[in-house]
Amino acid sequence: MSQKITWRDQLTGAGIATGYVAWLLATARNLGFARDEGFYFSAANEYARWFRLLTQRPASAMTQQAIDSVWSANHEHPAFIKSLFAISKMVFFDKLHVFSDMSTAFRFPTMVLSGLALWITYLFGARAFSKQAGVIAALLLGLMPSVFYHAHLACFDMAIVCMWMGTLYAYYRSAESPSFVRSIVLGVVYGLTLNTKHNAWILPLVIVPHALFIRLREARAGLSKGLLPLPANVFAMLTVGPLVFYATWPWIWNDTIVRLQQYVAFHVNHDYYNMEFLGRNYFSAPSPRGYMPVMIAATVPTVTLLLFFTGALDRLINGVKRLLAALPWKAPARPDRLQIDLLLAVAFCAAVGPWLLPKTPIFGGTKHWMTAYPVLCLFAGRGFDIVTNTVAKRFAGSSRRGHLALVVGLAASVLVAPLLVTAHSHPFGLSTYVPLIGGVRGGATMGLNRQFWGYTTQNANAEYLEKNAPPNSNVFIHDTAGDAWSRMSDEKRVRPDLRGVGSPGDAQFALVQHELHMAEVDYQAWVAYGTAAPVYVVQHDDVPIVSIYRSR
Amino acid sequence: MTSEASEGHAGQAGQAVAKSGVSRAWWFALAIPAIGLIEATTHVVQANSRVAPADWRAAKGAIVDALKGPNEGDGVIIAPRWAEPTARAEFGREVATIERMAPGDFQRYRHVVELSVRGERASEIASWPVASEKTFGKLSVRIHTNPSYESRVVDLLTLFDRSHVTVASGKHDCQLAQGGTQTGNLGFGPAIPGERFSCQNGALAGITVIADLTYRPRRCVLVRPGTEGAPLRVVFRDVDIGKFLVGHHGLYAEHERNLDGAPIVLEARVNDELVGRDTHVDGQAWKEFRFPTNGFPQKSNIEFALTSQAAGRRAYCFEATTRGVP
Repeated sequence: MSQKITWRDQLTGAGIATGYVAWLLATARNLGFARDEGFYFSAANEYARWFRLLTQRPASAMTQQAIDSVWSANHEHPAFIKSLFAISKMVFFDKLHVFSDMSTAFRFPTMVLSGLALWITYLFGARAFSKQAGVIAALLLGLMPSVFYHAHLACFDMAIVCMWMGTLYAYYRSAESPSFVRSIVLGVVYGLTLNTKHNAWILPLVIVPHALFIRLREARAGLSKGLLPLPANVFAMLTVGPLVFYATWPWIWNDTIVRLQQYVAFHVNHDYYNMEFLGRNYFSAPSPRGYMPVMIAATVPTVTLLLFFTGALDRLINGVKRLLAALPWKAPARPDRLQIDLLLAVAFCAAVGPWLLPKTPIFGGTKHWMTAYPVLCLFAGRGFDIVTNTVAKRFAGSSRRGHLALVVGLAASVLVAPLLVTAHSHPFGLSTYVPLIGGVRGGATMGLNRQFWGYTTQNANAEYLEKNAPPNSNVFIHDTAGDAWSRMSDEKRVRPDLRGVGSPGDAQFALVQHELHMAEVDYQAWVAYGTAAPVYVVQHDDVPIVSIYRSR
Repeated sequence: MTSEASEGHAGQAGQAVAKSGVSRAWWFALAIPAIGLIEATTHVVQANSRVAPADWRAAKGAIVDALKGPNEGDGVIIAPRWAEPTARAEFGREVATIERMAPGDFQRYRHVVELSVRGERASEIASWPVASEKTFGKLSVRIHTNPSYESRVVDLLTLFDRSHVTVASGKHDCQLAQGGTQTGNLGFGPAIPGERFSCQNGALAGITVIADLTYRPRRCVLVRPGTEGAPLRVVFRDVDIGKFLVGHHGLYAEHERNLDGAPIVLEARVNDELVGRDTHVDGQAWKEFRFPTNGFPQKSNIEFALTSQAAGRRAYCFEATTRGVP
């Protein structure tokens, strides 16, 4: 059985979440807009138009013409998170004026969901292992450079991390203490997860086998009668979930089958974009199987990984012992430690497993398997328990104060590196690699991806264009999407008189955001401007991030 | 943080740990926080270990000195490769010329000046002897001597103008025109230079810089190859001939990397006599060709005839030098 959770635990989780959201808000202004954010800003603006219509003239809003004219925007991705972006903008920017930047209102839901991911991680850790493990797990999750970067963005990647963990937690709670309400909650949460990102399709592969495994006796009996004995919570997940998914995505209210087919086809047949790995540019299948493990080792703080391996090994040994002691069908029906470990382990494998398949594109870097990170951190939290227990037995004696001091000291020693690396990574989170491989420079030397999505244009403006570009200059904005540039211009993140253009030859200044395959754009600028010498290079720890060329 | 770690499951596991003997290995448990502190310290050192601006200035001064006078034609290389943009910015237009930054190869140089950041070495010249080395903080300027240098007689790209070059596509002569440089974003391909030979059938020839299959910059003559029976011909007139005609050819990375394009055949003639033929097949990247040219008059015409069975996605580029004083 799991540990009991009290209001103090909720307060602890809320405190961690609030602190994290505050940190994200405090650092949002100097992080430029990623390419995809521009598309989602535009889509959210459209959706806001529909929400307004819905409140003013509900009947008009429900016509297919009104729905399709709005919800066709960015319909290759589901609507829940973009709807939150829209509502946040309507409430916190348009009405309450909480944020001075519209973009911060768009980004706020992701920040909150990121904080919530930490909260859920804490609760999960507190239940599964210990409160201490929960705290360490939540903090280690927030203190990953890639998590911190994506937690700022009006995108889906941290949102799905939260919703993925939310579904697992809701399932776990409904399995631990079955009730009608908990089953419905699981269904609703899973429905919203489906409406967040397609990673959600994988979750039944985690939950259904687990649910059958922990009720193996009933499952065997049911199967012998030709029945699939799904527990109520899983039944709710698989029925209420899709209904919620349908109900919260207006785009699929009409032509449902065709549009769902289009949605699935888009992701199943997604283009392969370019991605550098170990100095080679990958642009099609097969993807390198070493990509995911190497990138995890290169971007997740090493101490976090060591704690993870310690905790995971402990749980593996524990599981093997239990298996040897009592075969699973003799195990009690109610959840116990083995099943929690199993749930977490399967969830982790399901989150990272696709990136061991040769046909899975790798263009998203680490963000596509971030759903594994809360579980990774939960095992790291367990690893921390083992460290403190082992060291305490040797050093702390019986004094409670001594034990507390030891735990605080150990916690500080495992958190300080993730904290420093993550704080230093901003606003170049995607360029950041851990000290083990040499930091930012080590990543560059190894030939690992420097960045993507063109979000560093804002830094180019802050460091050079702001002071040096003549009025009304044309700037080639390279990988930055037009929508993202427009928002930066509106919010004076780039000088408003500068005009973004799509070709170096049409510009007085050309930005080149360095990625291996972007070299061709670099060389275009050379020919257009007659020089290979940029006038300025935005750097992070000496590593070039953006080159700025100026025409004669 | 509380002592609850020793309660509940953690406590149970702790007992298991003790039983398994792991508690005796307290030093192992202590190693993890120790590694955490080492990681933090390493990060601080790495993040605060930047190249000083004064060192960049000093290194640039050394490079400018190294390229003075008779050494003006020497090559320049930067190690590691990722430091190139910063180095080019620090060097400025005078040193970081396109010719130096995008050479066909480094064998053409008697000496190559290497700007090394933090002791890195460029693989292209790693085996060459170092004639001199100066260090400026985290930067080093090394002058490497080419152990197998063969004197370069002429770089044909320096002759690419109206007075030395004619271009014909099939039976049609192409005209040298001056227009705007055509560029785009990712996927556009190499820049189409403003100064280029333009042909009635859409063929062209002009000097650009392509990203080869490894994304290295290559300054070369961009052409759209002709078809069999109607090749694209680029003729360089009154060229000083050496013992060899040495060059390279390849395609823009995106046109070559799918390995599904038609091969491109390069034929070289000196005074209408075929001296060599080389076929570039996708996947061969930036490929060297070397044809003997002994026995021709010192001033001769060199013609490159370029053909391919299909012209689609064939942004092809070549460069050549005459080498070895006859």
